[in-house]
Formats: sequence, C-alpha cells, structure tokens
Amino acid sequence: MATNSTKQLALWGGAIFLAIGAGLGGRMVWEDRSGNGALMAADLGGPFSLVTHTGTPISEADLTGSPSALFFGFTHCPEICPTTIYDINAWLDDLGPTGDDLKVYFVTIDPERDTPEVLGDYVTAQSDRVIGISGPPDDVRAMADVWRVYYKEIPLENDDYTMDHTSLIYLLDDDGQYAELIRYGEAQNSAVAKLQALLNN
Amino acid sequence: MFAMFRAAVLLLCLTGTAHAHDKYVSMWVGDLLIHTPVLRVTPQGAPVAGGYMAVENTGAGEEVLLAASVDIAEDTQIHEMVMSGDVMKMRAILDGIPIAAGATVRLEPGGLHLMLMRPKHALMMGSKYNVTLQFRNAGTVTLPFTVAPLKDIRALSEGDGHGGHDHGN
Repeated sequence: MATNSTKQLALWGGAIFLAIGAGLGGRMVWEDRSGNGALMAADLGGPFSLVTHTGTPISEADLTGSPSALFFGFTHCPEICPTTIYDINAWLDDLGPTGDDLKVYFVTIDPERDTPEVLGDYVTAQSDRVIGISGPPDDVRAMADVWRVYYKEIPLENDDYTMDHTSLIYLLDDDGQYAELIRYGEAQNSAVAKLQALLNN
Repeated sequence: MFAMFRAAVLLLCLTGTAHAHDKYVSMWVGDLLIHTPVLRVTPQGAPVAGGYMAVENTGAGEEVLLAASVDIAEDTQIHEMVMSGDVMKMRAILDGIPIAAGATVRLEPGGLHLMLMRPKHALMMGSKYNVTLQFRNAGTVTLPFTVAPLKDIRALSEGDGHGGHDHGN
C-alpha cells in the first residue's frame, strides 16, 4: 500500500547499533546509514492509544506499574513471530514465579489484517501471557514509529503480501521506560538473565 | 508422475540414539535424498504454516526445487527469511532453489522454507500431510511431511552430521 511505503522509516532499515555501557542509561544510539554515519540518540516510545486483543483500550500509561516486554510482528508470519512467542514462553518457564510480574505485548505491524479478534485468536492459541495490541491502522503505525520499528509491506504472488519488520524485543521497566533489548535468536540464558535483571530492579 | 517417484524409506539415525531425528525419516527421490520433511505445528486459525527439509543432491548435475504444493493450503510458496541487522525480511523465491551436485540445501527456521498460505485447519503434532515437490530434473514427487513442534525442528536443523550439513569445498 502506498500509504505504508510513505510511512516507512527507511532510516531505521540499516544496521542498528546499540551502545551498551555506562552513561547511556535508557537511551539507544542509532546509526543513520543514509547520512554520514553520525550517531543519533533517540528516546524510544511515546504516547499511543490502541486496544488489546480483548478490545480493552491501552495506552502508554498501561506500560507502567510492572515491567514489560514489547515486540512487533504480524500473524501472517510463519517464522519469527511464532518463534518469538515460543521463546518467550520458554523464558517464562525458566523464570518461574519471578516472571509473574512481566507483561508481554505483541503489537501488530499489519493492522489491516490483524484486527483485535484475529490477533486474539493467534496469541491465545500460543500463550496465556502474551497480550496482542492492534487498533486503527494509522494509530498502530504511529506506535511502531515512536518505537523506531521498521516495517514494510512486501507483495507476494496471488495478491498476498508479507511484512518485513524489526525483530527486537524491547524490555521496559515499571516506569514504562526502555531498559534493555533481546535480539531474535538470542541464547536462552542471555535472554533470561536480562529478564531477571529487569524483574529484580 | 508416480513412476518418477522412486522412494526408499530409511532410518535417518543408524545409531539408534534418542535424537529428534529418530522420529522422522528420509526418502530417496531419484538422486535426491530428502531428509526429515516436516511442517511446523500451528495454532488454530494461523493463516500461514512453515515447511522444512534438507535436500541432498547425490547426483552429478545441479538440481532445482521449483515449486511445492499441499492440498490443505490454498497456496504454497517458497520463501526465504533473512535478517538485515535486526530487521526480518521475507522474500518469495520465484526461480527455485538450486542444489549443486553433491550439496545439501536445508530449509529451516530462519532461512529458506515452504510457506503454506491459509491452511484449512491447524496442523497438529504427529499428523502427516502429502506435499508435492517439483524438481527440474527429478520431476514431480509427493511425499509425507510430519507435523513437528519447533523444538524438534530446531534439533533437526542443528543436526548431528547425518547429511544436514553442506559438505561444500
């Protein structure tokens, strides 16, 4: 869709360099490949007003009060999205009761197809912990944008399409602030250690 | 048609150790050995499903996997997932997957895979579905793919030396 392509943040399509270490706190540093390679710091996140897969309104205020994991995907995704849910289930198993406070949110970047109902069927079949987030397409894409999530519609044969998208899992502290991230394919012990650190804070 | 399909079933793990491999079989299709053809378990209502296998070309010439089809899906495509930094990109493979003489090409999570569009129902663990594969030289063959959980499919990908790796130069 043309509206999609105009909204892509091609800027974020390049490699993302997360500066880990002292002094950066909850800020991420991105490399702008389209420019001269200068680093930019960007705060992640911002206001949004969407609905969960049960139809309950949700906004940035609901990301406070307990730590959360936030990732973006879509249901027509045979690989990375179900794998991410599968991995999160395994991490939660590993964490045991420690993980009870963690909220897990799966935001669609394909809101035209992933209505709250479709998303609900998808996530509840795979997990009793993952909360799907959808809503009006423009509002959903605005949330992806404030989280610096790249998404792009890719046409397939027979009028189908798939989505390219950022695969990161953002970990948010109980103030709803970005704290850490887990990459797709990250080793279980590393992911669990990051979650433990988040939950023990 | 089926005359072109000469398949022999053999146990993948001759050692008999309790690997995930033991549950899945390999099949000969002409000069091709298809290892552990599996479909990933899907939740009810999932609009897509993934299919995986390794194709070992024991022949002297290049082979190409051109297309695949499955009765239970509206359409079956060959896709490749690649990571570009932290962005997942998915592409349809339109001109087939080449398999050089002596090489093994693996369709596995995170890479090449069969993409079943709009399966008619959820794929339940242990079920088998016939998948038709179209090769340039070996022709069209139909063989059963077993529905497996991700854990098993990952174990198959990691492999234990039974043809899963590309023994290229």
